[in-house]
Amino acid sequence: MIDIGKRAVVAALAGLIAGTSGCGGCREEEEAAAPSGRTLPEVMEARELSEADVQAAVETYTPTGRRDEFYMFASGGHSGQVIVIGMPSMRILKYIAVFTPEPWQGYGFDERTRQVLRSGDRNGEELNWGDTHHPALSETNGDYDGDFLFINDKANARIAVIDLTDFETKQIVYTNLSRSDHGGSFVTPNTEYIVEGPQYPVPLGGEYADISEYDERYRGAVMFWKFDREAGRIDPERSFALEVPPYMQDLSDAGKGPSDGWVFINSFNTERSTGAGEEGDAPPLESGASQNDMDYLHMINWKRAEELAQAGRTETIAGTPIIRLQTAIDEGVLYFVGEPKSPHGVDVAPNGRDIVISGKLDTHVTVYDFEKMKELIEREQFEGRDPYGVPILPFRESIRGQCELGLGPLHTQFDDQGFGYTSLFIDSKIARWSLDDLELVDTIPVHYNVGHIATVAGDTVSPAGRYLVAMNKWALDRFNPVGPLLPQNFQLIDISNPNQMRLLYDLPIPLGEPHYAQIISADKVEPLQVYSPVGYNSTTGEVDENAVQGGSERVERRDDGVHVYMTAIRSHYTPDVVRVNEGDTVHFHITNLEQAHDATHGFSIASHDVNLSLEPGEHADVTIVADTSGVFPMYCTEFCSALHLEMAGYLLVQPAGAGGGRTPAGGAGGGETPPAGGETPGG
Amino acid sequence: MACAGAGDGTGPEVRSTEPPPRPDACVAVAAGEPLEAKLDAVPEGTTLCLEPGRYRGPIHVGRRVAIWGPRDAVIETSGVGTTVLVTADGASLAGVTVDGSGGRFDQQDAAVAVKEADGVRVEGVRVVNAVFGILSEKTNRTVIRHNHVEGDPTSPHGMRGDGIRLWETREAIVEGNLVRHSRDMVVWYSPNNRFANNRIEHSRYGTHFMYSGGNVVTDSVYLGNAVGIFVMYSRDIRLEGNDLLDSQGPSGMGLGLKESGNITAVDNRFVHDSVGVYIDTSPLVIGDHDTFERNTFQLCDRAVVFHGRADENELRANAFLSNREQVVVEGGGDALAATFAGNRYDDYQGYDLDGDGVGDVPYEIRSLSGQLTSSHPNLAFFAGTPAIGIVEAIGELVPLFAPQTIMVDPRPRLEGGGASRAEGS
Repeated sequence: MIDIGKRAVVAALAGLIAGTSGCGGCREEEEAAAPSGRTLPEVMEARELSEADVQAAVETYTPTGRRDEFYMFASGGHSGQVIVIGMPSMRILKYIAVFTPEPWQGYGFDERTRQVLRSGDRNGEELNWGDTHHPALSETNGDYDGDFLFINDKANARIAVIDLTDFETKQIVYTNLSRSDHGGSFVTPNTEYIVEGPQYPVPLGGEYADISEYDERYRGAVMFWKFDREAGRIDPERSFALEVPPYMQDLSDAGKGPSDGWVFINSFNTERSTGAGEEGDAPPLESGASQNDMDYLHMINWKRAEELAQAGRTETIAGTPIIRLQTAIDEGVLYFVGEPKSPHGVDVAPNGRDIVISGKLDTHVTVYDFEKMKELIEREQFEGRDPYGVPILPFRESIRGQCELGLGPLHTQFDDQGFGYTSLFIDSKIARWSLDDLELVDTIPVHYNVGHIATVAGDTVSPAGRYLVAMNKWALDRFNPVGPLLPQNFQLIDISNPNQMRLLYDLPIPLGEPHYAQIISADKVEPLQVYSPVGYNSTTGEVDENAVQGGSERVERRDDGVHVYMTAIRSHYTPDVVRVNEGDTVHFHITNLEQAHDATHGFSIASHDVNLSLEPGEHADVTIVADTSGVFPMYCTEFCSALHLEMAGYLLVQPAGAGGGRTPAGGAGGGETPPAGGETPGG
Repeated sequence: MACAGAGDGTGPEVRSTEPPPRPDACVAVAAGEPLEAKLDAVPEGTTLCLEPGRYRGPIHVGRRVAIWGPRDAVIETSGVGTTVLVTADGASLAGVTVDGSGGRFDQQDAAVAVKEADGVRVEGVRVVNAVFGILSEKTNRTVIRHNHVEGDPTSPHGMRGDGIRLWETREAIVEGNLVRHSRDMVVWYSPNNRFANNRIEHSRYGTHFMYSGGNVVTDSVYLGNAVGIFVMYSRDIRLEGNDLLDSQGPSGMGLGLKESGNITAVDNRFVHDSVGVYIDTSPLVIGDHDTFERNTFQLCDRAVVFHGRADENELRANAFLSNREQVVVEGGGDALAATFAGNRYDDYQGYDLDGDGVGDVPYEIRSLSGQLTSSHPNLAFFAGTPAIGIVEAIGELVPLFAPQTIMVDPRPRLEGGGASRAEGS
């Protein structure tokens, strides 16, 4: 311990000596040799950096051209997106559009991604945002495999599938059993299922029931979405739900190793408070839900549930088969055990036996012992049943112990040295503790209001340690002010030294409020460079039926409007002038013919809310109604080459009734080709 | 003896948790008589006087009846649920021992629970062997006075229940109670209560305020708890004349503030706490202001810790004595926005040539070591040693690392300051 201190002092002194050398001549030479014109000590002095600051900078700075060792996939909160961050440099690599239209990626603008986005619409409402909370990487044998990423939308109870070959959203699913979710997404150890736990109970299936019927009619539904890895999609036909009482289910985790076959879901508001109501004569929800001392950890035997679902022991509500609560109780699918009130994380340790839960107003984490719980279930040793008849395991007999950490423990992650890491919300610290002997080892302050944390593969069977990211809210005074709405703050912490954690870097998150993140070794992710063959539809994974090959560009007039078959290649569109009549529906089918790595083209049409992203080899369609006559420039919105500005053209919309002009709907290559089929409008 | 330890000179006065005297007019109840049947049989307004002996619970006081008993009248748990449940306005329970409760945390099995009632009194009751001690839920003007709640010292904190717990409780008086070896005293969603002369020992949160404004804590002793008093999301709290002693452990703190404001702490003593006062983003609301006046911070590892910003905190006439660190700011900032004025610091190295009792040069914490130790906590090993002194001195002479000014008190006092009653002892 002292060594570290001594080293710092010695280094500090050495720095002082170097910076104040009496040898004026040498000093000048040194200065002249410094690339910046300043010596390191001078830079440190000017920027008021300590030796520790410089050390931290060196540990995260990644020179140009060098890659990061890890990817972090963070939820994007109410941006409805996923943030991809390189670690340890903490450089943001991509915002993946998921539940929100995003013009750079063309997401929600071309027909194909619009279909993906719109497939998440509910109740006939266009949903243009999501509240992304918990990303989950696909797993094989309990380890991230780097193939897929799933994420939930708490606000609308949806799950999205992202393919990590191109970092694009491929599918959005939902069930009408639920209106909101929180306990998900998380996956079972071989991604058999993507589990989505509910949050706020509602009458199942979208029915109406007054809030006074909360206890009788309101319920939660835990969705088990079957994942078809071959297809890379969730198979709703083979998915099912499990009914749970109207508590507010919260975070969750899948068992692994000895606890494989089970999932664990936290809850709060087991008081079933429904808030102050219109009359305001009851305590508000937050108070009502804080009345009791404990809530219930839900233990769900998903393998047994799967058998029941396959045997048809379900009812179908709003199109989704659901195992009813009584069936779950009778068949040993659902058990409760008390947990300290309003818990946040329920985190299964790498050994699959310890389950760590933190009550958010506690001073300790509670470590449950799955083997003990299993035995209690086998012996049917219950301390009672909840009002819905779910058996409750005795709390004291279910746990291995507790570890005093500090105030307000929330979420726990693990490393490769046998430590657990728990965020302390009230203390605003990260605690490191020994999983074996349940002893606190170290803490480090974080700013401010830490929520989730993520370590490298920190929730898998083989965590890798090295780094921890504290995902803090509302960065108050950490960054230059940007008005009353505060950015969030990701703090990168070095956890490789078993004696001491060190803060390395603060990354402001300026879009949405991220919740959870997962960190995976970069060598497990193998993204495509270009789409191949040319004309690729990145949703179907095949050549698009409307793909346009070079030389086959054309404009066709059909009953449903004008079809423009266009190609894009550096640095022009073919055709680059498109003539239509006012009132025409115009279908653009555009293929990017490029197979070069850096040849993405955009496609925008003025005043028509169109922007496509055509990545190399990619095909996209977009339809507009040319309901206003005029001249509308089209241009490429990606800086694609030195002649990028010239990658442009015109959409000419001829006024209705106007005659004598050129024949609309023709003109590949901007030339004056004859009308391609169909009638000639105008007159 | 209930008050053992209270007379060791640390408390402002010896508390009484003896039963109140036997009321003059009361209906006697013989030991072992079914108590609840008796309760239902007498007219409202009756006082029942229990004879010494054991009475089987659970009982439900659903009518305005008073129960009095000597300490050896014991109402005992059946092993299930809450032992004495009071739901009648104006009912009372006094003097008896309540022995035990059911064992369920999820149902908050308590010795005594007062629910949805006005003006209930629980006085001079002794609670043993229970999960939760005395609960008050959705009540007004409850009086919890001179009770003794004794928890299980062998059980870890997390496995105990709360000694006293107020939830949605208004205008209660909680005074002269002794709570030992329990988990927390919880005050949640409970505004405008008074806490006086209590003694909370060897528990976890001595008192935990959450969303509970307008509360006052006076003349109480908090000894050996993980946290003495913690104030979260609450405004207008006054703490006066309390002793917050020996708060140790990972988050040991005498007083902790999180996103709270208009906190007034006067004449308190913070002795041998890991952290005397911990201030996290308080005050929160613009226009709020925290005042710390005439408090003594003594023998703390860190007397005052700001987790981040320090503005709108005013510290006057406090005494900082023999603390390892006087003022600490976490996260690389400083406390220059806080007002320090006229405090006494025993490590002040200035002088008072004009003899007005005020140092002629400001007291400043300028810290290279602070900067180094915040990134290298192990350097704290050298704190107060010549080694760190050398580093500091070099740092001042040769500003490679300009020592960061952490706080300034322009008028440090040389004498006095601190909790006024501390001076005589």
